[in-house]
Amino acid sequence: MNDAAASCVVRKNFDKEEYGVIFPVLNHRMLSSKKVLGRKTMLKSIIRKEVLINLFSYKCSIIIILSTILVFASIFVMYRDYCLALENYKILQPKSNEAIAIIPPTPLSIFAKGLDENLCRSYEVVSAGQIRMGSKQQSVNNLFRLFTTPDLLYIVKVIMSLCAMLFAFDIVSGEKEVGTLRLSLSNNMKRPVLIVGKWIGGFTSFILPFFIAVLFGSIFVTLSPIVDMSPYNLLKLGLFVLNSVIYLAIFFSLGLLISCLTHQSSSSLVISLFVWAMLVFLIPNLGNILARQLVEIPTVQQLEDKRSQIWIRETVELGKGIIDFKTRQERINSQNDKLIADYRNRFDRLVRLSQNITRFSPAATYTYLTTNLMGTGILDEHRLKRAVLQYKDLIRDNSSDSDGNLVGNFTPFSFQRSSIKEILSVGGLSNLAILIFFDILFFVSAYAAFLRYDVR
Amino acid sequence: MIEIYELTKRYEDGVLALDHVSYSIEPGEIFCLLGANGAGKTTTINILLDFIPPTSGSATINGYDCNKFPLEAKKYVSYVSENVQLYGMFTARQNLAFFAELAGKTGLKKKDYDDVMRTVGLPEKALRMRLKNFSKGMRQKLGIAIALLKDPPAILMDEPTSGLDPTSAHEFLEQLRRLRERGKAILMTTHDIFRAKIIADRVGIMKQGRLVAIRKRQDFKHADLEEIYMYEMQTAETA
Repeated sequence: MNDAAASCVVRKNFDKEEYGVIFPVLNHRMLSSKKVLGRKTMLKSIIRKEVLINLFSYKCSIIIILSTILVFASIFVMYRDYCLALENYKILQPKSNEAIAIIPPTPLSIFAKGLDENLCRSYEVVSAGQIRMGSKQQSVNNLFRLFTTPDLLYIVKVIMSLCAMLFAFDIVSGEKEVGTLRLSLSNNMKRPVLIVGKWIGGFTSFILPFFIAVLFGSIFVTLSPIVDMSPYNLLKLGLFVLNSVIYLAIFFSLGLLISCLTHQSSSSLVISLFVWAMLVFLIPNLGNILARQLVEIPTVQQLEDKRSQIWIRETVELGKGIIDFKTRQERINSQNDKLIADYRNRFDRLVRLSQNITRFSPAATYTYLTTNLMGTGILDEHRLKRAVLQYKDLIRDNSSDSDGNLVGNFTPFSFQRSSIKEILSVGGLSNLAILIFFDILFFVSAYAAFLRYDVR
Repeated sequence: MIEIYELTKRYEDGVLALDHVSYSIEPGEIFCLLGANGAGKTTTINILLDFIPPTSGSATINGYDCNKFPLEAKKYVSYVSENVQLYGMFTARQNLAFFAELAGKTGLKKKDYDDVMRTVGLPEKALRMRLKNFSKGMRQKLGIAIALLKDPPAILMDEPTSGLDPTSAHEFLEQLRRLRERGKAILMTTHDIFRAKIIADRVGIMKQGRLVAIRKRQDFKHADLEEIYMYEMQTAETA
């Protein structure tokens, strides 16, 4: 042992001395650059191998074909939906003697429909204190009510996230099973190089076909004469794609982590499917149910009952001659406003709580961020409802007679969907940070697990 | 070239897989480790490749401690596994190129691949064949080709003849002879006493983590190695 250890030390000293004598100054730099070059070559080899292995595999071919078909089909279906919604909007556009608040559908709803049907419904101020909501923009397809809207957001959130896990679940455990992992690591290669190479190669071969499909879909939408895709909307679309890449990287890293924690690909597959179902379906749905239990919120019917009670009470008082007609109207308006304000507060609290609980799921965080970014999310719905209430007050103050009846021509309703800056400042940045945190967490965990992975 | 000194491995569950094992393998020598399943043969290889750390003792390759300087040690060794699978969808050439790059051999030319295929007895046209169409014998040969491309002074083989048909096993032994002539130090674990007798310069007999005997070629050249093996196993049992 002593001889062996001594020989090791002697060899190391010899190497150092030999280089040191010839290149006394560049010695260290040369050795380290040589190491870096070697590692780069290895990394490139591993990335190339991963890409090729994936390209040759049936699993990859099926996933690529499936995702491409889905992306194109989704964009086409949603494009048709948008065209019809736009036609619907044109029909519903108010005349100058109608106090109707309505906004056009955003072209970005082609990619993430979100709450756009809600947002694009009409809100008519019928008397000084009342708003009558139009039905939702059922522009298109009533079947969407039975099934989930097949927009790109849904495809990325549900199908592509599953595909990402299916891509990664056997990336380490599968190689262990066939023995190539042992053979690879029998070379003078550091484990971090192997795991990083596998991640880059695997994720590139997964994301590239999807990216190309989305690119072609976006070009189709942009070139359409019906769709007015402004450069700002294109920027938002770019951020949506970036956000989707970050989201899918989470599931890819998670698949890799599971692969690094198991020794058989069959076990990896079962665990991956379970975790995916938890993150994509269970937590978002349970979170919403839990939030509903914690925050009491009246139903629409209960709200209507309370309104009726207010109206009856005030009308009785009017009948008794306690108050005059104008006072009755003011008191009804004031109590209705309080009722709505209370409802809005409770509703906002429910939404906030629900969001905070479901943020444990990347799928929920991704949905919040993406829909807000595309102008079809909770943020814009909230802003729109506030704007509609302000519009109602404006109409009431400026265009109603002493009996509360609306008269004359009305100021048209105007509303701008949130800008990127607004989205990021109101929760968007924290949602993005959560997604990046999940990315880092799962990748670092996979990295650490692989360093300790038993390759035997 | 390969030095194992007082090597001991006790797993977390308390099983003693190696118990103060010592031996060395010189360049141009084939050392066969014989023993039943669980005797500690593969554990030795796992420690040499730094897949597991030893509990005590040391294993060195070309003077580098496999546990303290694993990357340095692995520069001087190639590994041929029991069941060479490789990447089935890749051609032989793609497999060779990938593992050669991992071994730090870049810029190999067609001639290099042709030469190595010829050396291991595979037809050149097999370079373009996908591995999934290879027989087990062909894959084993390709495993040796990978080891040859790296061209290290030491080679570790874990049950390389297991599952090979007689012709393939015979050809495999021919390969080993050539490697020995090229001065490679070869550590081969096997159950196959018959082939160990044909090829080994020395055999080590292991039982329950202990190296119970080392026999040189002259000890078993004209004797029945199986009898020697059984005798040593029984002696170890009674001891």
